[in-house]
Amino acid sequence: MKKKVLAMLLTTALATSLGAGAITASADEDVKKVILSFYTWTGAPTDTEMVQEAMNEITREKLGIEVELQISDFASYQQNMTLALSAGEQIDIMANLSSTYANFAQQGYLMDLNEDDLLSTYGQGIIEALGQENIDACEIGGVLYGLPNNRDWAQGRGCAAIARQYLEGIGYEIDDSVEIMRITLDELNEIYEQLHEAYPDKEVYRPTTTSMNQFSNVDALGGNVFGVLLNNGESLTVENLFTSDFYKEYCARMYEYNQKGYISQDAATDTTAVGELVKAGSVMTYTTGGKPGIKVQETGLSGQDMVIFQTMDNYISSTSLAGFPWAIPINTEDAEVAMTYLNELYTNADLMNLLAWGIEGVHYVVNEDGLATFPEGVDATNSGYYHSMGWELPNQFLTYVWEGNNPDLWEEMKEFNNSAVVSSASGFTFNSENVLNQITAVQNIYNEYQASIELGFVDPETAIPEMNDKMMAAGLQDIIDEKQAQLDEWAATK
Amino acid sequence: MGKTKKRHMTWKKFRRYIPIYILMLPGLIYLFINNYMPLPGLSVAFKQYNAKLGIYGSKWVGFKNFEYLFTTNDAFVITRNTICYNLAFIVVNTVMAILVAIILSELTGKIKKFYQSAILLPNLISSVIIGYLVFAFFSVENGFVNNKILPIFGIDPISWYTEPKYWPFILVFVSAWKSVGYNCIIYLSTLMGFDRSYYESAQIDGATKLQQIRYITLPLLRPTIIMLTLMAVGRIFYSDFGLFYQVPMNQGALYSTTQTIDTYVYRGLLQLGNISMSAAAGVYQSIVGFILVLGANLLVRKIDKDSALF
Repeated sequence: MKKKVLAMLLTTALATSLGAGAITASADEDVKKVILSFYTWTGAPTDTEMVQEAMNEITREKLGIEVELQISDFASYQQNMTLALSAGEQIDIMANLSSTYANFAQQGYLMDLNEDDLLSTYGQGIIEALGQENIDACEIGGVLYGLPNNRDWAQGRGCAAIARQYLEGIGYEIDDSVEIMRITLDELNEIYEQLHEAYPDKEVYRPTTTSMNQFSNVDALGGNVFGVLLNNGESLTVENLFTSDFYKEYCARMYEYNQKGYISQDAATDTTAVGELVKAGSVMTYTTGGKPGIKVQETGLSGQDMVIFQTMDNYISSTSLAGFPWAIPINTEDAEVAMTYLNELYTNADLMNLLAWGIEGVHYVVNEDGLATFPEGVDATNSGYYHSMGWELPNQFLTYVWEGNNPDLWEEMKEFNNSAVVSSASGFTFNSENVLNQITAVQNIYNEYQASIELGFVDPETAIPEMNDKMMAAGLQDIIDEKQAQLDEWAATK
Repeated sequence: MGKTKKRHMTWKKFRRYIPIYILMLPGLIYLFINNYMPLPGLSVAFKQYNAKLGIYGSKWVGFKNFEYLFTTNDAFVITRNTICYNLAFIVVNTVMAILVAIILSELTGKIKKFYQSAILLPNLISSVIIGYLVFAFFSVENGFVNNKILPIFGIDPISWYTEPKYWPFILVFVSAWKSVGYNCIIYLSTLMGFDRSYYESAQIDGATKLQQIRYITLPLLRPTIIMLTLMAVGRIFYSDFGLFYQVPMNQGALYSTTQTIDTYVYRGLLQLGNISMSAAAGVYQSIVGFILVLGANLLVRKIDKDSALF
């Protein structure tokens, strides 16, 4: 009860703050209202209400549906949604992260989208926009709780971003005709060595806890590395990452970097974003995930011209497609209306542009190349609607490309997705229900060792077996076996 | 006959106290709503929570949600850390607080107010900021300790955030620094209430300051010390999350000496976000805490009946 009262108080406060732009007065009784929840980095933009009204002008007559946008900031999104969903508040359509998706689905907050043929009856446009096989990839245990969104599904693995000024300082020949330069790992090591010689006072490379994944070709089934597919998911044999040669070699390389003084002694403690460190001039390179448009993105983050190198393949793992699914919670007032509106979002370019960039002429203009840009006197700091969350929205490919990018960015992106190496487990989603206790215990052990080992602070020859032994005692093998069993079952139905 | 008379007396007594009971009512209602009505919700710890079915409709799973707390050797480490740190905090912080309170009580005027505020200040600082203050001292490359203090003694720089053995001392120190100001206020206010005539007659008898503290102040403080310690013992299975999570900067390498039950549950469930398993940890902590309070109170009652809570 205490929780309920508290939750109700909080959610009312939330609803009033989030739904500041709610349009309540509706003269037409037949107009249905859907509440659409998603996140931006900073919460609801100031002109949300204006954009919402413009969106309603389109759908009010066409579908008889009005939308209310509930936008929260990224950091509190999961918490806000948990609160709203557990309090039984109306939410009709919601954005997810892969973590919230599996979570909410397992706890029963999300609707089965295939129930009563909901998707096939009201969402034909969605099926066309995404492709049925990509939709199926979002299923958890054979039930479809969410829809993927159109964005960069593949990820360029083994990518390093290096600031141009330092590359020029060592006289490296930069090939500006391509966005991403393909090199081998040995060549990358050589660049690091030269950078260290030329700039001994600067930190050559700053690894983070996501770097191992970015420099690997493993398929982290179910979003954790306890039981993975190696070699781009070539075969469906679940293996222990921590006894694999890949992991040993990776950690040995980091250990070597550390011995050579490439990495700051404070790297494990310092959580400052790598882009900020490059901006501040203390770090020269870091790892990233490659995709079309990555150069513009990293240059923006680091405040200076960055050159992108790639040492491995473009890769779609089993968890890529379900990275940011859109779902209909059980709290929806009318699932059919929600699906109808979602269908419109996936297919209506005007609606998508409004959601992505705001109102044309006010928040953005389209230049002669067909690219969107700020109108006179407006920029990222004073625009009333600029969140640059295109990758989160249902169908980014319908929107204008922002200035600075290649006008054919979406075509490039599709090509990038289509040409990538696809894991043979693509479409498999792990249901962790039976091994929750083991995952919790193993996760804690991984937390204990991950930074020391993967950032090269301890000798992997002794530290990896030590971690592995502890994990085995905590039930790592159970997780691997469970993953294998579910994977076999999934493969048999294909 | 006698029985009715007695009942009559209680009714009369009760009637006399009605205004006081009415005063008590809001507090009681608050306690009931806040502390008693959520109790049935504890059942979620024994269920596999499903939102569609709700707390009461979800499937019973017995003690399955508790398993993760005990599956590894970590169970021993986290229990040991939680209890040992709290014991150390109780002893160190109480001694420090009483010491500071006695010193403050001897001071007068503006300087006393200044010291009191200065000592209280750390208690008001958020753990995140304290974490960075500590980092400023112990950062490997730019930290004050490695750059300024250790060279004086000719000691090589130490990689503080990868060496668990130093952290018990650092954490106990930080905890004392943070909480002494707040704890000493309670002791100070009790001290100020003591009858000055005890001290005056002691002075006439020629007692020194130390003797006054030993034979007057400490014995008079005893009930306060026992009560505060009892309350601290009840929370011995809980840990100051900020202190154990933020101050070691969430460093994995330090888990062997910084992991407590709260941080273990938080870290383990951060990815899973499972309501039932979090509730299980809460139930476990509450029950052990409850037993400890009863036990400690029993012990106190054996030694000094008047000082026991109940």
